[in-house]
Amino acid sequence: MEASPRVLDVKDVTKTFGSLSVLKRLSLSCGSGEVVLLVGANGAGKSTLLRVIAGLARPDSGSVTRATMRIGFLSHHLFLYGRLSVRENIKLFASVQRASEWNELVSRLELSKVVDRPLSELSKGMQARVGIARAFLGDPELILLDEPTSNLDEKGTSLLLGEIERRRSEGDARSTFLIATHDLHRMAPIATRVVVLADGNVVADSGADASREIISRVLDRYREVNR
Amino acid sequence: MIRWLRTLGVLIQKEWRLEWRSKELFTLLACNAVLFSVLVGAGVSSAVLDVATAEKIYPMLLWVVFMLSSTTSVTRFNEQELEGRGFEGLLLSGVSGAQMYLAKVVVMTLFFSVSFVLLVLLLALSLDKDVSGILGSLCIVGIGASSALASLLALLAAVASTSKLKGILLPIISLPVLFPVFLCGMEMTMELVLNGALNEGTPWPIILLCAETLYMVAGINLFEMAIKE
Repeated sequence: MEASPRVLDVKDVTKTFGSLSVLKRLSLSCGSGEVVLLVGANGAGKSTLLRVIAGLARPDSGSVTRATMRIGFLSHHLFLYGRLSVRENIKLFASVQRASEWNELVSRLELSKVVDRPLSELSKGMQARVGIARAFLGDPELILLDEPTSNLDEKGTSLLLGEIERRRSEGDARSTFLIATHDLHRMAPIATRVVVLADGNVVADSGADASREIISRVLDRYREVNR
Repeated sequence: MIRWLRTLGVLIQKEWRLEWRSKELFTLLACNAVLFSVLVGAGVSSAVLDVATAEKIYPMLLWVVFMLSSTTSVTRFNEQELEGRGFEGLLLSGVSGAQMYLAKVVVMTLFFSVSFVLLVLLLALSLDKDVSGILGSLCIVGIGASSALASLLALLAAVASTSKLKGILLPIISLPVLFPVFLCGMEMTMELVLNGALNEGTPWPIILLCAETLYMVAGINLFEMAIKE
């Protein structure tokens, strides 16, 4: 089988905060169209790795090579403005990205009823949906999701999963996903690869296009270690 | 280039909307302007200064009050960027630090200019000074100084925004660096008050322009570094 073109190449990345070493010479590569689950205990370095990949944090050493500049990132921070309405927020990011599909995205994520309300007045779950809309704007080729289901209810989660599925099945260029999560129950079924992080490094990797069986085995091993 | 300018326009609109919703900067500027003017007016009247002396110290008082009120008012200007970390979303969307910085400078300049005009009138009222003949020229000087002030404060507010001591830190780090603006503004105002117009060959507008250019070059190049982790 022909290997998919590389979208991301992380090489020997180190990141420290004061005396705390969060990433220790970590390396990871991802091909186009992969859905990679990043799993690991709290403090394993998942969020920091995603921030470094997104270019929002500078690595102390090592390199991050991205084949695309179109990156979507959903993090604990929504990267939105609480005082602006949902429409103003989405339009702002759509305008700077020249993305025209924001209206469809808003209706697919069922935000139409709250579109004129200030973001800060919405529930955490609805705010998270607006964050998803922002992250998926402009057809990003690389989508980084940090604990995407942490504030979402069942409905929100199914809308997110639907949006991910849509990006994987539609269009010529399939998006690549890196998803840091503890919600294995809901996210594992869509994964094509699982990477386990511990103490700032990769300790297990199912490999690209892994079978369900291999993914389950890696996740079982991870659960065992963290029990 | 047109695309770059369009994005800048979108960001200016965003800054304006954010400030319009909270009115924090304008409220602080207006309150400080009124407060400082009343204090200065009360101080001068209790010192029983004659009209001629009060007229001579008007330019100095105007610029001291303007500098203090501006530097103490901008401490919360970046709060809304930090609350939801909207600036990181913009950086991810391909917006450059330079565009974000320039949008802030434009909006800050606007608010500082309005605050300057307010101060000119309030202080004139407090010191019983007639400025109607030089108001237009004073406004032009004020707009020039406001844009220089905004060029530096937009950068320094970003530098100080992550500090717990930003309320104190910003005036402390900005006031010494703003000295050229203070000096230029004061000297030009003095010329206007004494002669009714700027002297031919006066060096102060050029010095102000140089200071502004320096602040702006620093801001355009360093803003992204200042806000990034």
